[in-house]
Amino acid sequence: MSDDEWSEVILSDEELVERGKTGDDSALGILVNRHHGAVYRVALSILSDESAAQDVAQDAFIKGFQAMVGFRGEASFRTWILTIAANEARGVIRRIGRRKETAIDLAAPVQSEDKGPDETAVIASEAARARRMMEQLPEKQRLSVVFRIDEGLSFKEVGEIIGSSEGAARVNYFHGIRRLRELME
Amino acid sequence: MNRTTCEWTRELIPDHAAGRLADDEIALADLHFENCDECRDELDLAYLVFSSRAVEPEDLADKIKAVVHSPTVNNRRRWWGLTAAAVASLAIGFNVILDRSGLPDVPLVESGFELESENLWLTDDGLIAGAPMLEGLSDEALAQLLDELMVGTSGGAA
Ligand SMILES: [Zn+2]
Repeated sequence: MSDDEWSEVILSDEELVERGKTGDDSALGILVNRHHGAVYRVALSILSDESAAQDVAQDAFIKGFQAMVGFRGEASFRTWILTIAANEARGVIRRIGRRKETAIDLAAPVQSEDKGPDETAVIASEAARARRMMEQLPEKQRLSVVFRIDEGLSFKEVGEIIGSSEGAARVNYFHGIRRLRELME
Repeated sequence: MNRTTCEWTRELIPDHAAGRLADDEIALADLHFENCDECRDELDLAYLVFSSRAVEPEDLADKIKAVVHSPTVNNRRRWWGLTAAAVASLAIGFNVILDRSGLPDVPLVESGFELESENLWLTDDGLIAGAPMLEGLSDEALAQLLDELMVGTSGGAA
């Protein structure tokens, strides 16, 4: 295993940030590897535009790394970079005025041994419908659902990113889920 | 169904749907799902949501790393660190306490979206008030300023 591969496995985000502050580019590369998917999805969940979400993901890392000297670890690096991405995406919304609806590449449902191809296709169709229905949720409810389920963020982290308390993030999540169930019926 | 058990289970549902739970938690939650249609339905919905999450483009990480590691951004990043050090020194010299706590302010600049590779520098994030005022200084001028600040702080405001 090379030094970089070893670092990728064993170093925490906080250790990588400290290395990044001293100009260690490989540490920054590992942070990108770990978090670019979540950063992209956070941007996409706000923008609904794949190309714009990629631009925002790129800008978020540039801005995050440039401001890293001010990062003192009160929040996790993940929350920090996702918050920057969300703010960048909101900035885009403010500038261009509205979200653009586009077809988005979705993850394929995992085909398990107990589900045949037909059932897997039905699940894929229902999953795509669920994602479309989520567009009808108020933004904080939708983002709470996306961040909690897709990224596994705690309600505290969700709250930090959407600008709410932990309790409000929890309420937004459960209201969002309940509303989504109604929409899916 | 016991309300407390439902509440406990519902907290776990997002991680269960995404396969992020430990085996013992899965076993406990599954026991509950066998007897609670309400929670079972919520798990099914959470699974649909997770199944439809977006996948990032395969080349996105490489694209980001190429830009982050580009000489322009690297220089800006290192220069920004120096600038921040200068401002911090300035703050010490004038007994100013800067608020640099925690996360970035919510309303960040709106400039990121249309950035092109030749114009990657982003202006004030509000992290360190006044830092961009030093942007016009050359490295030599900045080094001189730092020297002066060192003299100022060591001689100074007791
Ligand atoms: Zn239940």
